[in-house]
Amino acid sequence: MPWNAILPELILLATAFAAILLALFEGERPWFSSVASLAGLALSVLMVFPTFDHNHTQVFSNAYFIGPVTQYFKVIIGISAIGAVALCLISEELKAKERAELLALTLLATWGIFISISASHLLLFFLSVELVSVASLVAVAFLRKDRHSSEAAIKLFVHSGLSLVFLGFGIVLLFGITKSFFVFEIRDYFSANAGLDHALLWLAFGFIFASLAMKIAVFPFHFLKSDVLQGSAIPVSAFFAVTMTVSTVALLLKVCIQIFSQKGAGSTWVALPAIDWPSLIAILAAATMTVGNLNALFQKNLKRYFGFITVAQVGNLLLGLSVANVSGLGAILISCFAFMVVCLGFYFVIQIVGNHAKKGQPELEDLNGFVWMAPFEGVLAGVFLLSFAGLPPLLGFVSQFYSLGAVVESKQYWLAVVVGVNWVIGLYCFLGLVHRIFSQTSSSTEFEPNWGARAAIALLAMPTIILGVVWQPFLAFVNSALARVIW
Amino acid sequence: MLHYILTIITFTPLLGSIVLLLLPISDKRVCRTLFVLTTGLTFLMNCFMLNHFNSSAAGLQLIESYDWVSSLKITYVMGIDGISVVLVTLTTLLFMLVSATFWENEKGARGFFSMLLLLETTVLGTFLAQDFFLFFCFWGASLLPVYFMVGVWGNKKCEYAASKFFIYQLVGCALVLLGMLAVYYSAEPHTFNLIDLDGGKFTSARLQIGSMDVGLENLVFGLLVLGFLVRMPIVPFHSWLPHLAVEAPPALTVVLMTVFLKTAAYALIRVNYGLFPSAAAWYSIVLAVAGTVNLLYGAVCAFGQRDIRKIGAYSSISHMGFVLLGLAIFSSAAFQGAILQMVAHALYAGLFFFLIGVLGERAKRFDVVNEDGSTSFGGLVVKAPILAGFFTVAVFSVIGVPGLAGFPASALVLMGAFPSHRLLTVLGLLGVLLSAGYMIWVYRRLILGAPGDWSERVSDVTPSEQVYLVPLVLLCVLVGVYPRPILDISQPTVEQLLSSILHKGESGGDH
Repeated sequence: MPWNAILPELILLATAFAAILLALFEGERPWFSSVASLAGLALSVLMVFPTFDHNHTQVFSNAYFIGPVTQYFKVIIGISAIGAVALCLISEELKAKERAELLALTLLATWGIFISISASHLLLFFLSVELVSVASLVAVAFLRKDRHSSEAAIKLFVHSGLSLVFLGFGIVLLFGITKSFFVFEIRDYFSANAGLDHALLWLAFGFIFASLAMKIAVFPFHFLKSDVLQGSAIPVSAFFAVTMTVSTVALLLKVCIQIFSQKGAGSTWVALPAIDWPSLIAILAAATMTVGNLNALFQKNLKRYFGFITVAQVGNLLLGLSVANVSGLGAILISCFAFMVVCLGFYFVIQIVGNHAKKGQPELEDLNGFVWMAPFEGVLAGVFLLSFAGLPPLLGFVSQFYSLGAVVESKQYWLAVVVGVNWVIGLYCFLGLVHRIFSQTSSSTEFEPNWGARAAIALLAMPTIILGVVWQPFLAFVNSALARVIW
Repeated sequence: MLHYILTIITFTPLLGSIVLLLLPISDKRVCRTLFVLTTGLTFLMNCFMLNHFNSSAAGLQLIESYDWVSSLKITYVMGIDGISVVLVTLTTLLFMLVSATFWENEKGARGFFSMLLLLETTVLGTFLAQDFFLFFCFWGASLLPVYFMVGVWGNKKCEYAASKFFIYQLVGCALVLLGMLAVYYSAEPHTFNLIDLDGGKFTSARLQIGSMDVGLENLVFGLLVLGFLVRMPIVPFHSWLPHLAVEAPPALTVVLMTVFLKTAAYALIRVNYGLFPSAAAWYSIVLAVAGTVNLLYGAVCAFGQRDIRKIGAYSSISHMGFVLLGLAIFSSAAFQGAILQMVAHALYAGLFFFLIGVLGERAKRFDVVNEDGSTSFGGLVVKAPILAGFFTVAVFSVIGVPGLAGFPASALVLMGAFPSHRLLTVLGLLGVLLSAGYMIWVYRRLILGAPGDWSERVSDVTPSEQVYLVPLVLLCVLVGVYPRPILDISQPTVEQLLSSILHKGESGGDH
């Protein structure tokens, strides 16, 4: 049993329990449990790096799979979980004594995500996805007295239930076709038997894809995300916007590539000929981007606005899947990292604004003149927004350029045009926000500096600016990770 | 140091901008001093570069090349040739002159000056970059400082003007991005380096779109032309410019009219003509007609304006039409005329908008006539004779009176156009006549005649203002009388470019 391969997961699980246990013995201010959570998460992320050498390692009787791409996603998700935990710590919405419970929920949900990314047994996959659903559901409902929170939780409950049911149906159908729950055995079965019933395959794929699509709010399931993001507390909102999005994109990647693909020429892979999922994802990605950007134009609530922006970004993230080759995969990896850094950075700004305005539902007006009240945070908030928008020479432009390049290379010109149009619309959305931040009409007083938030914003702004100019090392790292993947 | 001179010239303003942002200075005068020092230093570096520039050699000089993103063959390449050297000198000179203006900003002078320096870096980078990706980064990045300056320090309707500007430019950027990717994936081997892509490598390239098989060159040329010329601005995508002229702070308006618009013409020359010479020959008539439409439409629209800033903006649209007309006619005289027109327009439009800024600072009013038709200003020749004298030079340069900067430029363009496009030449002359019409109208209402209600507020030009006005006046006269240095320095490059276009155009591609 190669324990060092699963060390990150073990540390994370221990941290989750430590957070709860320590909080039992602390009183009103759970200081130890907060520090333990942060430290445990950081340690677990650090322990992922040595596991990059493991290539196609399978543990627990082939139920659990470790490879460069899975570990890459774990790093991104781990960092975003650290961000969500840090947001919990600086949030003034949450009562201090309840904080430990939210920390535990976040840590357990993150652990569930780690398991689901690496699961190569479908029942383990199902259980871990269910764990994430339940933990995040309770996290959304955390502000018991807030009606937005309760409404979002009920909606999410129904939605998650349906999504889990679909996942269950899909998994059972796959078992029925292939007589196996193991992902790699299923893939080998598909490669060996070309003459399978297409309708059944589409049904299985459709159920699993719909389940995951509902989680990240791909068109036409995009309605819920903004409600959930608006209703939850800001740390939970950040967790949903960043961690859940990136993890579900990773799961979609996993389903499409590990199950519904077959070996192509050389060491590459191609989509299963029976199911043309690249075209389906291309159409859905285009629709999602457009719907997200257009809806964001009309929002007045900051968290709801970000809900639709996240929906649009999901469309961007899925572009790489619609290309279905190695450069598309590279595009997804780069975009996920860029999205994580920038979205998390801006959520710290939202938290500062929410704390200052003393309301859980900050409006767009609360951002007016932000840069004159908090210059350091304001300028960096502008940088994050411009990176989101995809303007050179920032990280967001690099990821947008790489995705667009993969799309043009695959000769899907209609998709390239749609991406171009959405780039303009998205930029216009962000422009309104940037203008508010820099407008001269400041209504309120100076912000008290929150040094934790400042440090986090500065830390996240650094890759945004630096990697926008010096991106060759990052690109080389991603390419090397992809090159070592064994299909 | 000579090896890195182009990088130094481009990034010195950026360095100044960062220093300004990071230092905790609140005194406006210290910020201004830093701004003057940075632009002055950049201008000095430029003169040093000019000294080492070989004006009899065609092609790129002082090339610096480094790998940037080697996986995608993106390189950091800077180079300068006879055409860009003229434009780069113009840019550094004009930014230095802008730094001498004293128009005050209420809040955040530090941010304003640092944004202006950032704009200088991006514009210089656009002129000097020889890698398509690098060029695109500078091209896109130049939108940001303009947006911030208009949005934060602009006048009443600044948000509308800034958003309009941004959206127009962004659609242009999106088209350029798509064209750039099409070029990259069609080139064998894939590369973004403009030097490697140069010289008509795409003549026989084809593109498979759905079930259609189209020629790559003409399609991508059209895409890029649309994307670049939104900034020129080409009619009917020009409506962002008059709004911007009114709402932007005066220092920014000067920079926009003089330098920013020229980046579009330069992009046309460097990217479109360089990469697709035979498509250039094919599109020649389209661009020439577009230029003439700009010329006439801008002139006609200028007649209907009351606000002198809008008159200046439409006049700029009209004169950039002259530039486009000259660039579309592939004769040496017309092309050289277009480049001279870029210089001349920068000089006289700069002078014109500087004087508007002076007027605005005194009277806070920009209407030539009131709503009822009576004159706002008037008789300024008596009240402010030096101002009137400078204004005379500006107005007559715009019209193109011999002896001032506008004449050799428009004369060369029209002379070059006449042999091949008689009708367009006649229409061009009509445009000149129209510009005389609206400019003389403005001149009479502002300078001559009886004093109006607002004339008492206009005091004469002070010596500190003459610091930036007199050089421009002298240059207008000098370029009008002796444009030879500018023509000589750009001639070898122009000849080389034209021979490649005409040669490829004759042998033709398959369209």
